[in-house]
Amino acid sequence: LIKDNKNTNEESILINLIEKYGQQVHRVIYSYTKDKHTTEDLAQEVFISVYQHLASFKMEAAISTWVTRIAINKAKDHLKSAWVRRTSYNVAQSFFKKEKSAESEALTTIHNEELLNLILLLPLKYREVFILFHIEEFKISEISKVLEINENTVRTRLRRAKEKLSNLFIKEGIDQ
Amino acid sequence: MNFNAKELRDAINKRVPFNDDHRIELLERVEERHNETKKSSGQVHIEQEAHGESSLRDSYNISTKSKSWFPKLMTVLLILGFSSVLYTAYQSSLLDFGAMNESEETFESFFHAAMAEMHADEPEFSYSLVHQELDVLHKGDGIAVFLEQNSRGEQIFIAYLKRESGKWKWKYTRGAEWGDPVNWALINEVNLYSGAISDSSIKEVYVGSEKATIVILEDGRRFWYAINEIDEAEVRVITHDGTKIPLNKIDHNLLREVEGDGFAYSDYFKSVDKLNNRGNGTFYEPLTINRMIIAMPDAMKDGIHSFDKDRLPFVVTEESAFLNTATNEEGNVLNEIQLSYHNKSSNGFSNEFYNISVTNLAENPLEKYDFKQEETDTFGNELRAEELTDSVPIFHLVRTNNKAHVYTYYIYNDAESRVGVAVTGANELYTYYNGYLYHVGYMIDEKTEEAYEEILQLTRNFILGN
Repeated sequence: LIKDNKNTNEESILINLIEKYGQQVHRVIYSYTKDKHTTEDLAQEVFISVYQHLASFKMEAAISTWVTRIAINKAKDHLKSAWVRRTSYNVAQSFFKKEKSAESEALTTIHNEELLNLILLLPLKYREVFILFHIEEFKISEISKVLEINENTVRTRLRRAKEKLSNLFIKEGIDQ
Repeated sequence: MNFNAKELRDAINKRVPFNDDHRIELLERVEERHNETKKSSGQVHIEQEAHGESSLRDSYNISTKSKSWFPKLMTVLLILGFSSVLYTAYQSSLLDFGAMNESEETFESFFHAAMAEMHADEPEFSYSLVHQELDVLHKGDGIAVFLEQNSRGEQIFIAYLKRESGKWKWKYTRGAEWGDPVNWALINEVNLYSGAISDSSIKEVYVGSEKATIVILEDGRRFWYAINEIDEAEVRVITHDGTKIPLNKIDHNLLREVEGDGFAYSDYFKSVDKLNNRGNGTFYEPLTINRMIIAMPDAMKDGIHSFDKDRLPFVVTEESAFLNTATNEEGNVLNEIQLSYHNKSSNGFSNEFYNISVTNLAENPLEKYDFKQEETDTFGNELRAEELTDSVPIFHLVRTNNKAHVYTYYIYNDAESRVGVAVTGANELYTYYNGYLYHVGYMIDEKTEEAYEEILQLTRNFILGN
């Protein structure tokens, strides 16, 4: 994108980047913060950072990987506070429980909203690989670059994420 | 288990919508913020410390650093009529460096140059030098206190620098995090003690008989340091009402700080103990139980007694002790120790386990609600009010149906050096005794009343020190 727009000004590059990656950045950040307003604030920080570092962007990296990495770093910085981390977790958990309490105890077929709530209950390290792979459809090699972990670790975490999700299904009495 | 990526993306998109209006707003705000950043970059501020000490405070960004800042700054200060005290302080600091010339580096210019070099590859790194003191231990040495915004967030550091053969050398550094309850560190080589102050009730800090220097930051947060020739001097704080409190001395030789994924707590009793609302957590690599007994904070020593694991109705193949420190909603420091006794299968799963978690808590959470009124938990599992002593109850939550509150406990991921929280279902015991909250979770194959009674008795013995 940047290469094709060498002669355009920074603003038009930014517009393109927001257009192309804005929603994805919001989704990725939300998967960490689980909070709409925090996500919006952090998305701003991401694009400010992108804007400020356009010049230093290395062309060997895919721009989507670069932008996603910045988004993840911002989200993780935000979660550095254990206080924030714990609160967010509880929000997701209570949200899910509230929805389930109205249901019968019989096995139910899961809907995307419920599935998303369960995914958001996964521990962070499993959740992030799961979301990048199954929702954002990144390749294993791309996840490895974005999260700076090796590809085998990505595979292992993906497998464990599915196992953990499966356990959550059982716990909630949901038919897989 | 199949996932439809597009549908899941749509599900998230609904929660964080991003339409044309959002795009325009985001663009405007990014440009606005970017312009603000450009305007403010390179500015340097110096103000007098609130407590009147001759310390300096400047905000400095590596990317905009300029060697010509000092004359400009002094001009600005003189024009603005800043206090003569501060000007004198600056003059003195110049005089202390002797006849400064182009080739002779000042403490401060060396400090900034060293920071730039150390963090050259970190585009988003920034720092502020908040305090410096020269000739601390010897003539020709200095202390710098600085804030860093790095990949771990904001941290405060103290560095000891020394002039050797006419050149400044960066000798030692110690860091602290705000709100870290384990808030002092020692640079043994120069007996420099330092730490962050998280509690507003603290008025003074003493290291042995030496009163520590307290540096006050712009936002009111405080950091202290002191030099005391005595090795391992006692560190204590004095609160505004005159109370003297020794600060926990953690044995750092045994305890290694690691990352943590959050706190374990009772899902049923959290409404009264609020342990789900802890913050500023510091987690430590688990130790063997014997080592933890040596290393644990003094504040926990009255709450931990011996445990007869041979009486557990399973073979213990793995035992470990976890420690974390945190603050609760009131800002009090809480230490939590979890002793874990597990029977693990060859694939690493805990088939049977007994975990007892002990937390020092000033108030008895069981006074907030009389759980004796309840015969079951929210999911209909039996809640038994047993006796710990004649006057103290111990609640026994026995799973009697297939739905229950989750039980969480600490686990350790060796590969990632990280304390995590495992989530499962278990029978639980819960009580408060002599300033400590006890929470047990156990899972055993032998689901008989005799086995439950044995576990209850073992727990009583541990708590009461029988």
